[in-house]
Amino acid sequence: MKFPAFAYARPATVEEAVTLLASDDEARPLAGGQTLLPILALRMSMPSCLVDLNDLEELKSITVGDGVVRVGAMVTHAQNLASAEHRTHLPLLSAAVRHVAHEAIRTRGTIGGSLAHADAAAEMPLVVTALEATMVIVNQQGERRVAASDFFGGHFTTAIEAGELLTAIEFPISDHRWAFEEVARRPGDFALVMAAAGLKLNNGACESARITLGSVADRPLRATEAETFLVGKSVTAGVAAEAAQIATQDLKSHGDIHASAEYRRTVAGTMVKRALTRAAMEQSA
Amino acid sequence: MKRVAEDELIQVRTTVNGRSYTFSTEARVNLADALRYELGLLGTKVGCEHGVCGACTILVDGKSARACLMLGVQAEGRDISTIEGWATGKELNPLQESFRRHHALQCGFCTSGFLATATELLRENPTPTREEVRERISGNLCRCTGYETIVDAICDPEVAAFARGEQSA
Ligand SMILES: Cc1cc2nc3c(=O)[nH]c(=O)nc-3n(C[C@H](O)[C@H](O)[C@H](O)COP(=O)(O)OP(=O)(O)OC[C@H]3O[C@@H](n4cnc5c(N)ncnc54)[C@H](O)[C@@H]3O)c2cc1C
Ligand code: FES
Ligand code: FES
Repeated sequence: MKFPAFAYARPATVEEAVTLLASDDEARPLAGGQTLLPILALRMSMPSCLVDLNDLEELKSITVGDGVVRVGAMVTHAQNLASAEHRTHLPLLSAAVRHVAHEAIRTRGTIGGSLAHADAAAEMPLVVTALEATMVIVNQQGERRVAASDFFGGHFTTAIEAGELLTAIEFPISDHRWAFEEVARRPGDFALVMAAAGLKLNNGACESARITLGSVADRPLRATEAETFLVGKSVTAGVAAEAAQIATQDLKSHGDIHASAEYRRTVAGTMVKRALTRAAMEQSA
Repeated sequence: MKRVAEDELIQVRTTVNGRSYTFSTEARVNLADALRYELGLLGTKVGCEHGVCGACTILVDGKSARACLMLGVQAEGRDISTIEGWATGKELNPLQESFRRHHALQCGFCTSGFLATATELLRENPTPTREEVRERISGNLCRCTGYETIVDAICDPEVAAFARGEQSA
């Protein structure tokens, strides 16, 4: 369908954008529009005004310093995919963003829009959870920071309040080796199941592990019990399989037209096992 | 730009296929409809209107984008390329010619979108593997051909030679 009518503003600064949002409860930020515009076309939402963020150059850069990679909210998926900084410092982000939609969608879709939308089947929420990133949120009063673990409140729900903008995501540079696994029906489709594994090994033994599952619950899940299980062990195929079992045994996933709950739980185990095995190989390479 | 009311017209200046255009539109009009009904460029097709089918894919500043998921007003200052710009008179470019030779279209509704997607891919890599082509065109739907002939057309050696020439140009 055609979009419903809306007023339109294209602010030149974040301050102006926040003022516009604060002055109208029904106004919405427009980032890449690759989710918001389909929602309008399907008439699932009818905002009074779209505040277009595309002129906010200050939100479009990737900077590295002090052990942190700061990614502006308006950095596109295509920019993240092409980023040499990410391949060096955030290989998990580089690996996962390849799975986000298709090239034509990645041209405009942004990391900020993806996180603000918080689709449980989207890759970026999983990545910020796995890498323990911090979201930088701005409102008329100033800036506040929210840890990824506190950011997602369930399906399509985040810590961003009305009148606020997500301006950047800060990723601490991790010394773990990462691997990402996903099953989707076609390349570019949303994940049916995905997992990220990070390992820090010391003389072959696991010093620290991070396992994150996506598209199996209303938000990304850390498998903390499996992470603890791995510490001190050598990550052989058998140990990876055991960790995968622990990570998924209590999983109460959801079934939908694409996959049953049982399928999701089984495949989640396989994703964790593969991701751990690959992360362990990365380490020795 | 200050807040513009929903029924107010916004003036847009843009470049399409090397030619400058100025048009006025409401903010709610998507770029595909703006191209079609403000500029009369009907080669960009509108299928699903929500980003899924790829029929409306065009090149914006050289990168593929869904014209149904951009606003007409977002064309301001952009350099847009659509199917109307790819042939020289009646002479098809080698990618279009290859689509014809390989029967990579039947009804043709999806074709301008596939050509935009393939043009971008070939600029990055003149000799993609069949697997790379299949992955790249996964965002474009075709209800007629079954895709095999589209992959054949994109992987044709004459297309590769053309794409290499474009790259070095
Ligand atoms: C065919 C198709 C396939 C797709 N496949 C995938 C996929 O496989 N995986 C995936 O992850 N995504 C997928 N997407 C979604 C895509 O990644 C979107 O780009 C992304 O989810 C939203 O980003 P956006 O910049 O387009 O945001 P928009 O659509 O502009 O905005 C999304 C929401 O976030 C709000 N918002 C945007 N930016 C901010 C901000 N800075 N601060 C506060 N609120 C903000 C908006 O108001 C809106 O509510 C797909 C989309 C399409 C059309
Ligand atoms: S019409 Fe734009 S993707 Fe279908
Ligand atoms: S040729 Fe008919 S949809 Fe592709």
